[in-house]
Amino acid sequence: MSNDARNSVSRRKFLMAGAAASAVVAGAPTPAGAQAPEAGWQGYAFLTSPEVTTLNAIVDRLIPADQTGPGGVDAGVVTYIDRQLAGRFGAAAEWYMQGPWGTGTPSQGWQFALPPATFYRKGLLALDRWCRGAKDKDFADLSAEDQDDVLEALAASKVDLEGIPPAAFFEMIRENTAEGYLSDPLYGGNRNMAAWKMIGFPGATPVLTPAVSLKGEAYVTPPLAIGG
Amino acid sequence: MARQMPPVDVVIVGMGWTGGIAARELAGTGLRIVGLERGRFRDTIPDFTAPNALDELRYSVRGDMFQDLSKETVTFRNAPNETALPMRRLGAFLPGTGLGGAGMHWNGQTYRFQPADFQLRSHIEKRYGKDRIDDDLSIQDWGVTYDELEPSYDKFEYVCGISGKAGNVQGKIQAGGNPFEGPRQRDYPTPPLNIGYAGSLFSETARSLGYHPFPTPAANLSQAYVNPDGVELGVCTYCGFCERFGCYNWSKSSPLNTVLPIAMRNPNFELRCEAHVTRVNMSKDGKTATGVTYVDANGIETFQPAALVLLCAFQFHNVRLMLVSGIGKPYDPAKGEGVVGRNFAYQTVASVVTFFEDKRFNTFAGAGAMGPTMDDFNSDNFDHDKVDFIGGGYLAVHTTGARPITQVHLPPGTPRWGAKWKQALHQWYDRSFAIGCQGSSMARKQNYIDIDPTYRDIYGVPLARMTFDFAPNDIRMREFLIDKMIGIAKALKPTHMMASRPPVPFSIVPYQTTHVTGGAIMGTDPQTSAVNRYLQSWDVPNVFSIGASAFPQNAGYNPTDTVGALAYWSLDAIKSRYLPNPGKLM
Ligand SMILES: Cc1cc2nc3c(=O)[nH]c(=O)nc-3n(C[C@H](O)[C@H](O)[C@H](O)COP(=O)(O)OP(=O)(O)OC[C@H]3O[C@@H](n4cnc5c(N)ncnc54)[C@H](O)[C@@H]3O)c2cc1C
Repeated sequence: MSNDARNSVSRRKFLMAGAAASAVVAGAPTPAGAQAPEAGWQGYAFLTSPEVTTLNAIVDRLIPADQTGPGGVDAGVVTYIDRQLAGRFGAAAEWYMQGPWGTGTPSQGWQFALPPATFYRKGLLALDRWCRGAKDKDFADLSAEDQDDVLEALAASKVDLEGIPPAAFFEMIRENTAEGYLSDPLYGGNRNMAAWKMIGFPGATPVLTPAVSLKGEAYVTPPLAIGG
Repeated sequence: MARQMPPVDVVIVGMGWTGGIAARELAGTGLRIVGLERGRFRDTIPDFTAPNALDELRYSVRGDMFQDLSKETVTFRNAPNETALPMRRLGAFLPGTGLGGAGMHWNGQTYRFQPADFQLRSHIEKRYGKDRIDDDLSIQDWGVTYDELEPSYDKFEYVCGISGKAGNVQGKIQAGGNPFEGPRQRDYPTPPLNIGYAGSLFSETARSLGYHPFPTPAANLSQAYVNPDGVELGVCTYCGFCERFGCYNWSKSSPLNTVLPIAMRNPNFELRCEAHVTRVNMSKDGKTATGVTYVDANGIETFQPAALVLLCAFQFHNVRLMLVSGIGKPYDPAKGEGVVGRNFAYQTVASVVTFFEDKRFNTFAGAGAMGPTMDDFNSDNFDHDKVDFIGGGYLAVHTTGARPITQVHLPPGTPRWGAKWKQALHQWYDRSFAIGCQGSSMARKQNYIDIDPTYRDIYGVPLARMTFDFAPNDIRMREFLIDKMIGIAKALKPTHMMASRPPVPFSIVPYQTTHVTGGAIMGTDPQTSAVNRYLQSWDVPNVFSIGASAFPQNAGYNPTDTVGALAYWSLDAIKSRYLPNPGKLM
């Protein structure tokens, strides 16, 4: 056996012990002093306050709060989106962004020159402008029913967003909202793992061996987040 | 002027599965070897520790381990009369980058191809007649047989410690294994994984219908294992984070926990990460490679002279490096001439999702290759006289995890947002599983790779241009497999079910598989293959091109067992025949 392999073994044992220890901690109440500051309280890194107002209203319709589980806004989805837009995703840092630009066929996929941060900025502004023209109000001031109608219209490309493709814009917000709701709390959404608790997903629990022998009944275990 | 490094005997381009195997196999030769990897160095610690490695957003959604498209992508079109546009965001396939390559974030489903797959054209013509092959298809034989490759399959499986159950040991059919498989010399090194509740329901039902399910051969290990080189692997804990993730537990075989530890102990081996190879340098007469040029992390262009060049950069990059370096004649579909870029193929997938209101499957507890497969409709295991296509695929239920952003299935008709979406998520999460098929992909005259006339990577090198659409043969095959899946699904008596097919024409958008094949295919005739049966370039004998780029067409399986076997097969020929006497092996 090689030296490397021997090292690997001892490191693995150590790691397993560490994982098990953190799983226990996750199940226990967190000491109040160790609580991380609530995400979002520090302010927004990218979004302006009118943008936050509009996005709050959109996310509240995409995932409303009800007895089934937390709403998207309470779960921290807007904070999540803000951080994503301020970072590598917002900048399209890992997308191929060299021209020339063409529209292409549906099979050729995404062909927009604007990175997501700009997409949001222009799209949210244009959405409110459209709502004021068509409904005399900003999106956030519409009734819930009217907001749903506008979102349906966006998804069907029936809203003019002044050059921003409406369906793709809606789809990006819908996707990012689901991501923020269901990703690790590390990213600012899924606060207190509430969405994971709602569905029964164990999160980043490294050892699930007992679950694979069950025959139709649920394996119940408290979820584990990366930050504990 | 490029910086010049001291000459070496061998340079390996790409340090994933095939590059790692090459470096390991050459470790005892005393040759000076340099391995160049465009991505960064990494190791299980610190890069894949738990719980940080179990992060769906970072790894699966944002693709932390995949090729950075801002540096390099491909352009794509469905047909030669369209203008190709760049793949700007990752979609249909997810090429890897960094030490260990895609071998770090694969699922670990480790199948051998069938004996008939290696003689596809001659087998079909003999059994069904020449007119059974559609005119648009350019399928051909591999130039190597299953029996020749068997020892190399065995070697890869034992290096990895694959968990499975043999179906055919030296011609004797074994209960519980795959009765359709080619003969293997011995059983798998470790026993099968637990197939889980979804898998056992599927298996029982399939068996009751007369089919022959068997546990998928898995690189997610059911037991701790010490491989023939003395490298230790751990036991899988079913965390449900394999595909798209690095394994925190040394229990998914990858280059980092099999071949690389041995390769890196060789004092004559030097690994250089963040070294992006831009071309193979050629002698004035174009008949010999003199080394390779790469750009390092500081942007310094560097020439590494070498006597032997092994291209191990994954299918796309092998083909592209050959095209931009002038190794072999580029394929021209209009004239039907040339070989490099020819016979690009893919995989034909679909699934049927079944929903059960009264069951919980705990599918979040999974492993990349956990579950049963059946080969009754794969390859030529069934009579094609009664159907209107050639080829086939396996059907399987793989419980790979139930990561909530990307792996949740909701019943047909569920809205995509709003209160009803959330209710459905609550009600149906973990009450479904998918039956999937992995169908063959026949090579076609109009599907190929060449050099894009417009778009370049950040180093100024032209991108590869992919022209691809599904062959009509494969679409007919897909419908046949979907019918069979629906038949089994119905017998399971689900509350709801839903068939799902990737769009036709082929779309670059939804993820399907990363099983891109061909473009530098192997064979015994330089008119129809880019490399010979040892994966040596016909035109430039000191260049070998190793990987799925050598597949003449793709079979109804995931590729890596065959990729690994071909790497060992090629390295055997290099060690036993090429090194003592460098020159053409055929
Ligand atoms: C998400 C996913 C799941 C998969 N699951 C399965 C599965 O379950 N079963 C299966 O059989 N297969 C699976 N595969 C496929 C499997 O990963 C590949 O078949 C295998 O890794 C191929 O080995 P390779 O050496 O050809 O390429 P890789 O392992 O990808 O190695 C190629 C290396 O070359 C490097 N490289 C590329 N270009 C350059 C350059 N210009 N200069 C320097 N270095 C370069 C890359 O960065 C990479 O590290 C999966 C793939 C993916 C992406």
